[in-house]
Amino acid sequence: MTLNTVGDFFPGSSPQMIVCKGVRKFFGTFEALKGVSLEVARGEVLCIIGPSGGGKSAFLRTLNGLEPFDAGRIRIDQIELPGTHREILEVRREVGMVFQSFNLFPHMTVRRNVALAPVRGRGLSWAEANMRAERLLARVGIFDQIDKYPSQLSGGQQQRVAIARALAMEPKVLLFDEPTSSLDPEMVQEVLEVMRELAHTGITMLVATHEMGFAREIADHVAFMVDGTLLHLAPPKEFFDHPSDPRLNSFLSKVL
Amino acid sequence: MVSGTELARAEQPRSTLSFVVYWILPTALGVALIAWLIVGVNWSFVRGLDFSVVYQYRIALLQGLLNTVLITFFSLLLGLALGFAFACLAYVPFAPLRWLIAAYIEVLRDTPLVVALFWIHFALPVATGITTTAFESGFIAMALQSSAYLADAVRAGIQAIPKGQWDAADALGLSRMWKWFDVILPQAFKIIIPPLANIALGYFKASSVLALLSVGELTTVATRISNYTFKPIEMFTTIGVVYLCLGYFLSFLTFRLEKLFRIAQT
Amino acid sequence: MSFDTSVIWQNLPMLLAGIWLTVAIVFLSLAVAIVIGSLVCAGTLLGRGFVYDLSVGYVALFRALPEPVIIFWLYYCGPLILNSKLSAFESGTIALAIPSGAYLAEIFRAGIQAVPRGQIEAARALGLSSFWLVWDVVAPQALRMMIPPILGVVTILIKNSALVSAIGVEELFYRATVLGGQTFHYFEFLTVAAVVYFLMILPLSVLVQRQERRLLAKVW
Repeated sequence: MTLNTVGDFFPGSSPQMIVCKGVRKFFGTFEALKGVSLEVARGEVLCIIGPSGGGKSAFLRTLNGLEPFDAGRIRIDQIELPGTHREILEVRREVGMVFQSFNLFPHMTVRRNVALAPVRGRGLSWAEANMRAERLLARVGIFDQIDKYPSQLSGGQQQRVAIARALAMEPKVLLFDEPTSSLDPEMVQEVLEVMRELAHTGITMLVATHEMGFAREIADHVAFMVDGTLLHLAPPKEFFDHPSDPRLNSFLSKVL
Repeated sequence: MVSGTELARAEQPRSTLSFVVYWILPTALGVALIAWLIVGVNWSFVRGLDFSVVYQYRIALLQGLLNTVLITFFSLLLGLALGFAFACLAYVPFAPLRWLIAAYIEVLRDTPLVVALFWIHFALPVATGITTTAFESGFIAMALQSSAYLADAVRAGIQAIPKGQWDAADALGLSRMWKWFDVILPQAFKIIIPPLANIALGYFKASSVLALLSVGELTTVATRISNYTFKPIEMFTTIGVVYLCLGYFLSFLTFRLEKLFRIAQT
Repeated sequence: MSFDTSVIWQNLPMLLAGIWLTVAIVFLSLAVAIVIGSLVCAGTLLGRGFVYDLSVGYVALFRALPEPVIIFWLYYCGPLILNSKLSAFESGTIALAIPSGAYLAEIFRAGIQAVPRGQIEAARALGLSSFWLVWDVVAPQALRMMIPPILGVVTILIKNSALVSAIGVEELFYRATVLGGQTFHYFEFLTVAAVVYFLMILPLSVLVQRQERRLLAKVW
């Protein structure tokens, strides 16, 4: 089932930031993604909701080349996947990712965690990268912890550092893979607050999440993904108030 | 549900560097190895090897093997008894004794077996007037050193028992002795078996060291025959194979033993 | 029972020469073992193929063979079958490096594979190239975990160095037994040797136990 398909790719002139067509992925014999087609406009915020194991994570990971896919095409800005080694590296520098389990580097201070990638990937000097790190960490509200190690921070603080780390590469797209699912309830809001602020800056965001309130409030579009298929895509008002898909209906009735 | 490990397998696309590393280097190394084998080995000599010597001296070799098994088995038995004793003693409320035992274990662990062996055989008679045969020296040295490692293993096993067991035994009003004998030690024993087996395997290997004192185990015999017949390759290769088989057999036994105890547990 | 210290002082130069040789053997063996271990570990990380089989076979073989057998084989059989013209010292050093390399290969492999998958993913997601990934993220974490077991290998190496006395290398243990035989003061010389070995190994052993305790605390 395909939705919002672009008939053909128009290289270079498409206003869409992300275009996916017929993406399929197998893990062995298990089909995790069954022909997902999707477009995301520049500056759009797309929230993906759905039951666990439905393919949300797998899909996000194909977008920055973390997972190879077996069929279909993906285009991020000007670069098409699957691509050469160099192209994939470039995609990863344009697309930032925030993980459910933070994945901060434990042997580095918060400062170095954020400054590392720009130095190694964009050729900044350590001084420049440090300045960028300080600016970003102040923005997410962690400036006073800048020389601490991740193990000394709370979950909410660590995730905010992770967001700063992803932002340090000045990406065009930010992917969030269930960013608040590992957090204690009292820390979820501080992370959502940062994400809310980011959404207003005009950066393209894809968020896989269970936070329905957040999706309803912030998203431009909400997608429903089940069993590796994109079943429904609509603006939040229509999505939550008038769900047309029966499976979406039953899912929403269980979680809301 | 896709497993986490599958999702986590983030693949890196092929780059020229990875191509070199994964294909060129191993092939180059493989080719270099084969080349070295062809050129470096004296193949005419290999053709002239005469393994009938092994058959000729099979009785002596079997005796050596028997000695290896006997000395290892019994010294480990004694070592285990000592190890248990030390582990239990490490729990007495008398601090100087605990310290003494810890020091003793550390000394035994941090000295080479061969040094302990020679010390018992040559130095002990001078100090205390007790003389031992080579075999006895070997036995004592292995028993003492293994007791240090076994004491550690036993202690780890005891610590692995859930605290609730101690509480239950106390709540039932068991005296210290019965608490140990009926509740703690039997459970510790089951936990200890894998590390115990590892240590046992290690000491079958270590028994080879006793050859430096001509104790009479397998390596001693092989060295003697090799010096007598000038056929070191046949001899040492053979006992190498024997040790490998012995180790393999012991691993197999351990596996069976573990299975047996797992069934017996709950 | 008396301890005749004068015998020790008289022969101190010989003993010191022996200690020096022991230290040299341990260092050289370790260096060779690290090289062997790295190569074999790289082989085991391949996952499959001929080189993988060789590497795994190497580890299995040389962890199971007794060290004296390896030492004797290399010293007596080497000249015949491999046309090697190694001195006892060289032969002994390599013979000690061979099983140590096998242990190190396992340690390296375990350390590398113990780095959490999420770390590698995060680094890749940031667009770090493979080189910087290893340099900044994998290596520091893996090395930290490898240190206790590597120190353990060093202690084993020190203990095994005494074995090469059997092929005539004049390290500490050789000196102690020869001097003991010459002067019949076995008690003094062997005790001194034991004490020296103990003093060499003890700090390493303490370090290992402390590091292991610290690692366990971090995990919890």
